Amino acid sequence: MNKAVVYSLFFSTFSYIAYSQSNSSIELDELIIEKSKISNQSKSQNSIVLNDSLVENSVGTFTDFLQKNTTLYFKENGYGMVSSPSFRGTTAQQTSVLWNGIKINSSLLGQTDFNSTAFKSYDNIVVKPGGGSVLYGSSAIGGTIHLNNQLEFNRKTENEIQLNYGSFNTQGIHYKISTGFDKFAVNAHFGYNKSDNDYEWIGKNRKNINGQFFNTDFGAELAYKINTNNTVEFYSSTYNDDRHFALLTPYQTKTKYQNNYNRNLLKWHYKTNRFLNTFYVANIKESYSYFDQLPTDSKSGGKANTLYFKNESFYNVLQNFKLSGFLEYQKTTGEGQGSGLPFSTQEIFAVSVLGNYDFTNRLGIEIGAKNEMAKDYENPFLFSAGLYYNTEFYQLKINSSKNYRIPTFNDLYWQPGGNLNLKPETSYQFDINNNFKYKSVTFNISTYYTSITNMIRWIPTNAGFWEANNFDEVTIYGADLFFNLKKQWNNHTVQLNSNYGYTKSIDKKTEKQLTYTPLHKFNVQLFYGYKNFSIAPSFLYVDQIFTTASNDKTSALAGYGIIDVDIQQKIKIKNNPFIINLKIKNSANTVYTNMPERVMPGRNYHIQLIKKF
Amino acid sequence: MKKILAPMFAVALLYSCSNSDDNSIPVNPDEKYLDGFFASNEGNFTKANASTSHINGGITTITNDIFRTSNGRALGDVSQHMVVTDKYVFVVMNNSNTIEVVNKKTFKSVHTISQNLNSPRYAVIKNNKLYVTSLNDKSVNVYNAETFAFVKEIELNNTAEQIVAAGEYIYAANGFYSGGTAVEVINPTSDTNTTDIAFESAINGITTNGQFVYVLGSTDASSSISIVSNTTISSTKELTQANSRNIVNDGSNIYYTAGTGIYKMNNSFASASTKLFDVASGDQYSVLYGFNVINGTIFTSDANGFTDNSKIVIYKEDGSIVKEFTGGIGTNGFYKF
Repeated sequence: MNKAVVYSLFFSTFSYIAYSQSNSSIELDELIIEKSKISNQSKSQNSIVLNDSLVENSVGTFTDFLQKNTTLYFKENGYGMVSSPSFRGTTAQQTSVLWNGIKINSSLLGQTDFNSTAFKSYDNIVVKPGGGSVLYGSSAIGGTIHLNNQLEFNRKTENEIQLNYGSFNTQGIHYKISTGFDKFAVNAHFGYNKSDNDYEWIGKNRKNINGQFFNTDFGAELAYKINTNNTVEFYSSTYNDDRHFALLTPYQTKTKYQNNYNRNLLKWHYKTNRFLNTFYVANIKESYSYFDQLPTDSKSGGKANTLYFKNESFYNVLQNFKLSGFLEYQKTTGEGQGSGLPFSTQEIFAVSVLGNYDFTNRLGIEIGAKNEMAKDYENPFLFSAGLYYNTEFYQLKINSSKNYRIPTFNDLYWQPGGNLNLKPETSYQFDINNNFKYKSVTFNISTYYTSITNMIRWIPTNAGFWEANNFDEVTIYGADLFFNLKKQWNNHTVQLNSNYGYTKSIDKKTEKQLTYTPLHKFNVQLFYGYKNFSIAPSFLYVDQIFTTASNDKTSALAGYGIIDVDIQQKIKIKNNPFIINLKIKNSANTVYTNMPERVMPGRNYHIQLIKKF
Repeated sequence: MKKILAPMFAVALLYSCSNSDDNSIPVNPDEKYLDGFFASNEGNFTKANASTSHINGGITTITNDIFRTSNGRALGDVSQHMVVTDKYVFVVMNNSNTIEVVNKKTFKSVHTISQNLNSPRYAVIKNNKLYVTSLNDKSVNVYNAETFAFVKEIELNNTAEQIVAAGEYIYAANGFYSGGTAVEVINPTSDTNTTDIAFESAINGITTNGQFVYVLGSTDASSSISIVSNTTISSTKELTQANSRNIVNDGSNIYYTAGTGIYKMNNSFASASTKLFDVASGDQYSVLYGFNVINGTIFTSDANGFTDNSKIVIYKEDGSIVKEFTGGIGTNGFYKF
């Protein structure tokens, strides 16, 4: 096998923090469209790029993937069940997920379920800690997660098949084809995952009951270069899943949940030497059904449909001065089925202006502002401001912003309890990022402060129902640390990758740590490769969490440490190279929970076959 | 000298008394609960953190999470209601579809009823049979209260919530979400729903003094209490408070709450109700989530928005606080030992 290919695979096994600075943030790469453009849009914030190889070589849920590779913390209602993130100590609705540049958090719930996300259909996943509402809109408080597909002109056709099989009858098939010509670039992909998910509840003398799930996704991306100035792209993605909800206690009524979405996006880029305009039009359909009394077909559900238009303009005013402006319009309709959500409509119009100015080729500032108008609530005026300083070995990025999370359809319109007097959740944040790079070592330390007011919570009323209210205030301060070391000699490669998150997330009323928010989270991966073989043990530590607001000790769930081991062998039979991955998850068979009484899986094994042709 | 000797004598007497205990019947060390009150903490829905607390007879101490202490496992998901008998406590576990039967004095598990339960809500015992209502099924399930075997399912017209036994009958009240506004009467001899007593609006709660049944109807606009004698409404009293809830009979009095107020009325309906006092309002509108009056002592809980352990406050009728405790999550009921 070509040595260069082998090495490139090795080197790309880990995440990295985007260190490089593109000199021209507005210039579209001739060959690769949209590649990490996202990370260039804010020069005073860090981005963590989880690249294609990392995505490709992973088996399991999106929750597993991010839990292992970032400082994000997730709580799951049992393995594969509903999963909510806590990004820098914020709530699930304060993390925004974007698909090829447009926000896709559920309009009904305001959050993304990370166990209902087909993350393997993306070419790269970018995690941006910190507020970004001026750029990305609602929910970009704790941070943003970008799911990106990448289109490439003038490339050779590549097919990739992945098969995986493992414990609890877990199966997966993923196929992707990518090709590019002079004027066209096309990708198409398909994914299927299923699991009986009937793992042993260690120490409880029973199995995980009713936890089985499957999901399928289809997607295609297409780019057409009309001429040197105009390119159009089309993205489409469809996802369906069916998850039984694992029982907490053995005689519970069985339930299941089906989640479906269909997303279509058209982008038109127009560019000249100094000007780039991108027009977006997107349609996002989401729906769910909840079967509350299996095996009967008693169910309730909801659906939402969003039409979204956006125009982004970037203008190189001077070599060292760039301006951009966004116009956005969004119309969402939502309706429950057999639930308390009547047919409701929401319209949002937004204007944003951003600019950055470089004093020298090392030092610059950026500033942004956004105003948004919505039908049923008042939106705050948002801003962002940042400073960046770059040398070969060191980067300093300082950033401050005001961000928000709009009330969801359920918060506003659910009957009874929806509240039309709600205000958006609002946050102020300040963060400082220090990035060091010396020879084979990369080290980043980010410290931040976030204050969030008007947090929406459903609280019981005297009339007996629950009502959405702006209730809580939270102050968060913390630090994210990232360390990477990589060495190679002869046929050997060694790499060390580590993340540590310290999160003090304090409820202003109780002056205690927010529930379900660990103070410490740490992960480390060690990679050793020799020729076509590699082994990568990793360790994840999550500190104890509290489940009551007063942090009552008896309500605490203990901290835990998990060891995974990944082994890879590249095999070449005649002219037929392929990759075999063996994964041992929770290899020390640790018993742990991140929700009360929800035992997580013990040691489990997975084998994965990757073939490219 | 005499003054000194007298206390010494008393001390000696005490010692001799305590020594004499060695000769008495040995106490089962597991029998930790011999009097007082139980509190049911429903926990967070789908988090299986329900628990039971015990308050001693002198109302000076609380012991939380006694089911786990005695059995080494969690009680389950949503402890909705409890029935206390001479021997047992039946804990109705709504979202676990179980009824945990425990020895009353040790709180050790005797049996777990799970047969045919579909979101059980409330229970009552009559003629050594346990009658259980369901959130999902339009029926009442009957179990043998000694062998815990399933006996039969009694069909109703609508689903029922609270259930009481009085005189010759069992009374199951249609709940807020049932679509019905009746008290469905069950004859425990035949175990069938023999007749329905119609009311004008959704029934908020029912209680009994053993002879009569008191039915609280409540809306945003008005509240009223009706007396049911056998199978007919004998009288109805309009209350001056809308949205009344938590109806309880204690001795010859009816108690109920409205907002943060606690009200009392003679159960003969001879005069209008009087307001006893207001509880502290709390900031999360979950005050008076649990309420009971036992021998004139008023037990209340504030569920603290279900994000924290409940605050239990026990009052005298004049509003003076007997004791405050921290309970479990979502304290929804108090029961006499």
